[in-house]
Amino acid sequence: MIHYQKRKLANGLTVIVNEDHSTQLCAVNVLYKVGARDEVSAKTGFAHLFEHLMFGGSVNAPDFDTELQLAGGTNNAYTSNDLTNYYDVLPVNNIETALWLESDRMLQLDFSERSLEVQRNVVCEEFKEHYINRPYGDVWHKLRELVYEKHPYRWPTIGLELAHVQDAVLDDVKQFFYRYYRPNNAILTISGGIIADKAFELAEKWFGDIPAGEAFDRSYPEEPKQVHPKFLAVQKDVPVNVLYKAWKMPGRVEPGYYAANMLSDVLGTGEGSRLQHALKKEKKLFTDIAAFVTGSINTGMFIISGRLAEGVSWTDAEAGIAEELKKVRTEEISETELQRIKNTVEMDITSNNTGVLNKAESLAAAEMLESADLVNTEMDRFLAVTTQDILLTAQQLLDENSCSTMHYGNVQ
Amino acid sequence: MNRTEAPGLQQIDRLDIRNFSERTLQNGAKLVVVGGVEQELIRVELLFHGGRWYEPSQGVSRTVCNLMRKGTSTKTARQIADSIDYYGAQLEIHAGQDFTSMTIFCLRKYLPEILPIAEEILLDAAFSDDELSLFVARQKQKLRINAQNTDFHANRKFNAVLFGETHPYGYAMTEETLNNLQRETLLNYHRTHYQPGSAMIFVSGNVLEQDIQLIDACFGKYASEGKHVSATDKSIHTAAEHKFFIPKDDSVQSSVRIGTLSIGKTHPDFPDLNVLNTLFGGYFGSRLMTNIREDKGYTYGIYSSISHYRHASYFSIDTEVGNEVCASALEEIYKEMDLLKKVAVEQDELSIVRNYMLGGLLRATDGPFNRINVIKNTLLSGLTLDYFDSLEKAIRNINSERIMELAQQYFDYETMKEVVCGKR
Repeated sequence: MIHYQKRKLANGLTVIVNEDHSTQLCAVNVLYKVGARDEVSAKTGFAHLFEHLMFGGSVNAPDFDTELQLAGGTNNAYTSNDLTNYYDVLPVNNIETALWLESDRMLQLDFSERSLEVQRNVVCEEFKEHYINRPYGDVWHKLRELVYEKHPYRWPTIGLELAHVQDAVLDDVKQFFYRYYRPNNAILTISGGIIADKAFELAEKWFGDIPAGEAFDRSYPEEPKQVHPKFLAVQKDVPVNVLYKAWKMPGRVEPGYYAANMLSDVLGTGEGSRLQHALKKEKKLFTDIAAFVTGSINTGMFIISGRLAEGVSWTDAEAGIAEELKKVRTEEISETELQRIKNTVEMDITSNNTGVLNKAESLAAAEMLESADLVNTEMDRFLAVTTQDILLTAQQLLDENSCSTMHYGNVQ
Repeated sequence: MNRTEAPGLQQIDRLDIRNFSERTLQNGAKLVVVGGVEQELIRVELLFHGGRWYEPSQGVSRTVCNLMRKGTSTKTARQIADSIDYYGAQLEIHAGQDFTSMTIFCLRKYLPEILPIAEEILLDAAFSDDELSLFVARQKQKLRINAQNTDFHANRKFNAVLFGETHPYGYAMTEETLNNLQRETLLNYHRTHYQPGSAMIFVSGNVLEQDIQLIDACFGKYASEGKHVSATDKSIHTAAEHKFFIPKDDSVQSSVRIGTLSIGKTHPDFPDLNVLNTLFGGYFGSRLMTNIREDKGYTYGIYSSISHYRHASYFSIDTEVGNEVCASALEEIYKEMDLLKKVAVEQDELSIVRNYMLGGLLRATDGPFNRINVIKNTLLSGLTLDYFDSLEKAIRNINSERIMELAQQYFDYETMKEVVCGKR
């Protein structure tokens, strides 16, 4: 249970406060409702590049990191397909430094050619380090393009290609900022040893005078329902063949999400899960196999991924998975299996509610998804799922006709 | 409100690190408790003298840790996995260089179900040939995948250069190491090093008296003993050469490791050296990061650190840089070392490092789960918690003369080794 209070400032900024007096620290978290899904296909990777630019200084605070470090704090940020999140953790008696810095870069970022040039290079090195200079680095590029036809989930946050990042210009930066980095498109959460009223007062003091941005249409192309199987073979000189099977599934808080999430646990989370036990342990078709969901806000992906054991053919690997899928689509799972998944969910949610940063991030994410209250009510949605729901989900979701399959490695 | 001026700063305090309690089990073993977590969670960590340092032959400790939970004389691997997973619990075993830890993390209400599993694994792990061959196959696959990464080669070479290719801290796992693993060796090592009575136990979370009693009933009934010696030669043989290049023609980036053996936490210079390292490459605002990432854009990240094993410590600089700028990046790294030797650090910069580090101490000790880790690592290093006072004192009192003096002494090119893997 996370106790919190929520208010909205006149400029549309949502402020959420969790008092935690067991610590001398506080977390200040600013979530902007913008991610890679808001990019256009010719300029991908921009939301993430922009995240880097947010550290290039604002008009009144030229050096974000230094000021925060002087206050004894640390900070970081991340970009996903759905959102961009910034956080600062510092001694609570210096909280105003974080509020000053975060509000100043929301008020007006210092748009500089120099900062853009350096961060373009840094992001290009990040691209190389994680996506080129690494075996399997382009797996998600390939898989997303295979699964999605219309939705901007077609590309990963780093972007489709290096050139998109290299070509970014200052004008793009400004437009992006004034559209998405406005208070009415952001959520500020504070967790720590501070009285809630005091926190709201400080939020008003630092963020209250930032002008709201114009409302804009937030709609994304509807991803068509897949009715025929898709297949992609990627020939690569890698030591181990990997197989991916992906199905489109309901978005993060849509009906059906919770059962699908739990179905993925039944199949592929933990050594006792069905795929791991049957295909890795018993039949030795895979050396590693997992099932998981992406948890995207719009149409997400239900994914099975496995590394083939040496000498195992693609056909045998596929047959092994097909057999397990058939079982889970014809018979209800046992009550014991269901209880295992529920216990796991309870553990995950409980452990995620410890520490000021976890709490501040969870509250912000929940507020964006639906409402901050989700941090306390979501467990019930998982607990309500029955073995019958799981069976139905497996039948509807895991259909070979709506499956995208990728073989990556030696595919000849 | 004036946005052009930073809000005034308050003095950074520190939580009392000594906020823990110590208990003695019926066998005399010590147990450290840090409570105070609001959520119904509990973490029990059992620590053993076990790891590379104690191995009878290479690869044994990691293999043992990996296979320990894969079956006992009465339970299959799946039964063990199921009985842990059923409660949503985590039971992790990690083999380090000198210590092995077994960590239970679960909802408090399920502790009575999980403790006996840990006990059984410690007493009776079976190490079946079947599980061993599965493990070997998986590890070989991993080696082949990792062999495509430049950082993998750079790390392995760097360890071998600093410690020697056969030293416990210096050797690298190979397919041959894996082929040589024998069930008898594993079993024997396991029974010698992971006696349930010989663990040092650290408990944190939402901890009640009854939990301590459960732990005592489970582990306190075994004799507390510990005799951990192994016969292998452990003298360090640092390579004589200074520069090593591993060609990897299909890479777009080069992995760079530069470093040298260094002083341990018990050395009187360490608290000050810790400040120098942070200033040089230990945080995001460091000299290295500011120059090589933020100014030049050569890398996504560059860090320096001082790492400690029980019997050795080393200083290292790690980065991945574009092949075409690798030579320039190396030049800048050495330039930054030289600068610290020759030019006194400005007060402003020193204040940033100071406050960042004081905040860091606060963060490191915040919350029971963090605090117990800090307490554990300090005690395992053979130090008392006074060590934290000396770290804090060094941060508050160090001056620029002292920093220069340390840079001259410890950034010594005579001992510094450089390993690069990439394309020239």
